[in-house]
Amino acid sequence: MTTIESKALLTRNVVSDRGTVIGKLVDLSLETRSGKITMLVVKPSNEVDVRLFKTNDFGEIYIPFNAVKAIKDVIIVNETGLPRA
Amino acid sequence: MITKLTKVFGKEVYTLSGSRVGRVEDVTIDVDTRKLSEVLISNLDPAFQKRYELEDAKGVILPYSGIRAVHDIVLVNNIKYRLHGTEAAAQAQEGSEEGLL
Repeated sequence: MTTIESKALLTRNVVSDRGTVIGKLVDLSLETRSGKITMLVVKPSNEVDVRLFKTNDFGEIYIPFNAVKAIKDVIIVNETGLPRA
Repeated sequence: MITKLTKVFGKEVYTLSGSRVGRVEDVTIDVDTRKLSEVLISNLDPAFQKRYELEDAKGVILPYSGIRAVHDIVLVNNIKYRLHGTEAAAQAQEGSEEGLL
């Protein structure tokens, strides 16, 4: 079992499996009853075209947690699994 | 209920019997199951510390399974905790020193 302290996780880079830097993790969306994490909330990097992603009012990108392939020094997400706007 | 992780940080933690435990400092995530695994509670209530002889503890760690509700406050079951940030906690890594809330 690998566990990570969530405060250490915030501000880590989110990168797609094709090598695109998407942005920095700013928050996680979670279901409080089960403790399940549903979404990553990512502040997009300047190079990324946010119009390609599902975003909230603050322009932050939502990535479903089941698109996450690995979490360590960076967070790697499956690019084909991302919802497109 | 769906909430944001950053909104959980700093929430007051109370037991089902109504006594204050402390404040949510951090939450650990189990990467394999994609779930929250433990809640780290700091800023412990002095009365709580005295009752369980935790005066030198920086905080306690609860398994997420002990969380009953998260809304304006966090409600926890009367369950087992682990010590955090003390010499006892370091020993507990080997000896598994646990207590009951």
